[in-house]
Amino acid sequence: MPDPLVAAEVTRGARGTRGAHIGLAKVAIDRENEEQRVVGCLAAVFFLAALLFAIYGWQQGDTFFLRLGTEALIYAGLALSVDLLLGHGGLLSLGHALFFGLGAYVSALILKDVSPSFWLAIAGGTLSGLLAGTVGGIIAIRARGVYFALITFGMAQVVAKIIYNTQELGASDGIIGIPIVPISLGIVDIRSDDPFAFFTLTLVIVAAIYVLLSYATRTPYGRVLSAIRVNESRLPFLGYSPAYTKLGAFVISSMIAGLSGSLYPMLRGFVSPELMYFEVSTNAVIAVVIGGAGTLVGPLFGAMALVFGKSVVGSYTEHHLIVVGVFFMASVIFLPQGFAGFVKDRFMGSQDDRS
Amino acid sequence: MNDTPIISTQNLSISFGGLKAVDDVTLDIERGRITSVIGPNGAGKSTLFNLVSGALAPTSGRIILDGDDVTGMPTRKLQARGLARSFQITNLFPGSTVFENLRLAAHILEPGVRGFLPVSSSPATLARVEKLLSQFNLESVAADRAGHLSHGEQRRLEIAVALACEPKVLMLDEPTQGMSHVDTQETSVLIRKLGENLTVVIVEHDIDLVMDLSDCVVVLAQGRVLAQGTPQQIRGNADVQTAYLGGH
Amino acid sequence: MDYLQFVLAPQMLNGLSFGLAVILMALGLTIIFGLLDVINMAHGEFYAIGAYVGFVLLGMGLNFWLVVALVPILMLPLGYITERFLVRRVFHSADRHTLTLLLTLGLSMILMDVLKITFGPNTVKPAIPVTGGIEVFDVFLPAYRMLLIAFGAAVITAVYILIYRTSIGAIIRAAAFDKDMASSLGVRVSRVYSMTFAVGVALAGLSGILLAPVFSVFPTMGHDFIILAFTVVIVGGMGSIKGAVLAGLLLTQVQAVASLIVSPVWTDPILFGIMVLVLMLRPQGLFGRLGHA
Repeated sequence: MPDPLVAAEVTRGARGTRGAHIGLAKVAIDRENEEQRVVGCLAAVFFLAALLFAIYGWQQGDTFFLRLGTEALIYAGLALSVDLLLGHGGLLSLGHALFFGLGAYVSALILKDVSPSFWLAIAGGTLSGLLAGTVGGIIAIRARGVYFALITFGMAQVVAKIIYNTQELGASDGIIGIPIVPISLGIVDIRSDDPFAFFTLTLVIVAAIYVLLSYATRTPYGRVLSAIRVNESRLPFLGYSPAYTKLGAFVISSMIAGLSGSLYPMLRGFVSPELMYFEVSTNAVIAVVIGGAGTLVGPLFGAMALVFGKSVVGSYTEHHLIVVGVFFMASVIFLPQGFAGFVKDRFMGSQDDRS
Repeated sequence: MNDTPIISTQNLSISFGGLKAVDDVTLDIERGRITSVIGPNGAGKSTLFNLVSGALAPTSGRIILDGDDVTGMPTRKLQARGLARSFQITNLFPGSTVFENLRLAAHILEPGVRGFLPVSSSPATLARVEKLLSQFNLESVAADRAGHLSHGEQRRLEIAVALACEPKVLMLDEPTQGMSHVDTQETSVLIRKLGENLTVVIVEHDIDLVMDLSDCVVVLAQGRVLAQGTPQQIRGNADVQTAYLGGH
Repeated sequence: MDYLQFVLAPQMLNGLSFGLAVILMALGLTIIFGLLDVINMAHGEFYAIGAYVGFVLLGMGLNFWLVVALVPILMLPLGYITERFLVRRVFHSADRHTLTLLLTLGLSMILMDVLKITFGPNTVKPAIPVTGGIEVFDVFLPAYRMLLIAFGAAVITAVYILIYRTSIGAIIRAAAFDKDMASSLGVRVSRVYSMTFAVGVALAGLSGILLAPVFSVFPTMGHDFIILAFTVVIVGGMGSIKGAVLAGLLLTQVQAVASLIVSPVWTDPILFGIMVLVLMLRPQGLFGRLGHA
């Protein structure tokens, strides 16, 4: 049975040379690369500005702003962990303070009772994130959408309440009197009470987390995670497991939250149950949303804006929640893709309709 | 080379509530052929399809894939054994480009360590995606978002995505549904070409297409196999005439 | 026997009166979710506002029961405005579950701070309007708790009748089942949304004023309470009225009895454990959604 359409198909196949295919696929890859370039530029701006800030602060002999900046960076680490889940997996965690606080407590206990070792403390904080994240993840990833948000919310609240009532952990007072930590970095030895050095060290750690995560989102594994946000039910038919992917992301995210938390007692010299409270979780979510969920670089800016904004507003009034709340709601309504998403769209002159 | 059927179902049944949607279906799908499943609405075609592709677990009966009992095996594992399917409702990743959709699907063939290397570092996957783009005439829309494609293009992408894992069996759920006549013809040519290299199973409403395309036709009615045979045999089957084609 | 009489029975009774207030709060949450698919994170603050509004009205010398009637009426416009001007703004985006959750989260922060500014951070406590009590089989029953139980049960029944036995309820259920179908039948769905949100908020306010004399009134009071309300809603099945009632009774009884056996600190993990267990065995909760069952 001769079929003219088969003939047409054959000619088309012959006409399409390999060079032409690569050209067309390249357009698609170029688009991705351009997106990465814009995001990469924003990240470069962020880390350069932070470095200049540190040098300026050092010259001025400043303590207050460098320490505030360090705190902002620590919260930026937490925001990055939340963005991995929210921006990529579409999983809104309202309980990441749990892993952050746990990391802080474990680090505080190690520094105080075991040994004032920087490396041991951050290893302990990260490990606690790994363990708690595995348990919490197994519970939470069963739930979808808003259920996930509410489960993580409840989980953090329950643990915070237990810590709050545990005398051995200082109950409502938390743990105070964390010793100053000498940190040996091979080439140079610093101390955790040196504002400039500790800021810079924290900056390097946050940069490492950022690089690691932005690398991870460019791997096939990261792409599968992003696909979960859009069409989870389809993935098994492509051979992927949404459950394992989500659990993996949850555990990585908790480890990063724990690592970030482990830096806190070195900066402030104490930990308290407040670190596990809802406000810490929501602040991380707010930083992600106003900065731009799914961009990773956005939450860095978001965390800075939040910590410094609160400090500025706080010098006028103690009611900074109103200001943050209004700002946050305005962002959700008018700029749902956040600061970095907005910049990205602007620079790419896009026909973007992210779904 | 191998004459055993690639898929066999043995006394496969599933009921929803009191209704037996698929009732005692025993069926062999032969290797390297194009087999179509037809039947009136509510005959259980889609349910059978969902059973074989692992989307539903049967109430009773067994499913054998390439000699192994795969009854109740999750979709993901069936997929790894070379069973891929497309969907009637096109529901891929509309916000991603055609290229990304295909690449995501194609990456499944690079397991292990490769999953942790950048997506751009995999020439084999890239080559596979390019081949699919050209094979399905999607090159010119490679950088477009899947949600922006025409209906015909979306249906083609749907099949291309299912093929990206280089399956042994390709199951297509109403591949030409909602297509224009020209698109249908083009898709039919495509499917025939695919059938040269792998086993294809189709659920389809379009009888003319089925008769034209298939090596083997299975007719379902009320969840049971009414007849199975070549298109000629089915055309001549009296039961089928009365139950199905007669009303067509 | 003494244990039953002097410890267990009063504790269960306390649990029951508390449970009915929790149910009122959970009803609001579950109706709003069932109809609009919105997780109202500001629900706890509406509960606190109800308590404060009631406290102010009581301070003006109004009768307690008049205040109990007035508070929900005053809360209605607040709920209406919230839906009309906030929730609706992001209602039609693809991510509306997340966006509405974030939006009401922002609102809850603002409201909490507004309460702090207006009333100060300290705790206030209205006098218990009905003192004394009655004794049944030698068990002392505080009068206010008994009234709370009776009143709460009456309101819950009224809500149930409203949703399942009236034409307004039929419209609400139809809109919850399929908003397109409902609107093609001439239902003004957007108005149903605003009204339902308003009723949900009014129920939270009512719960606030009813519990104000028992617990105290402070700006963050809603925050501790909302987790319990969410637990009730999840266990009962998001969007299920029956589920909210039964889960509310069950969980508050578990809480009351468990706190006799273990330290009260551990009652939260127990309730959370029940919630996780229910989610694992029946992800949709014990009962089906509004309009779907």
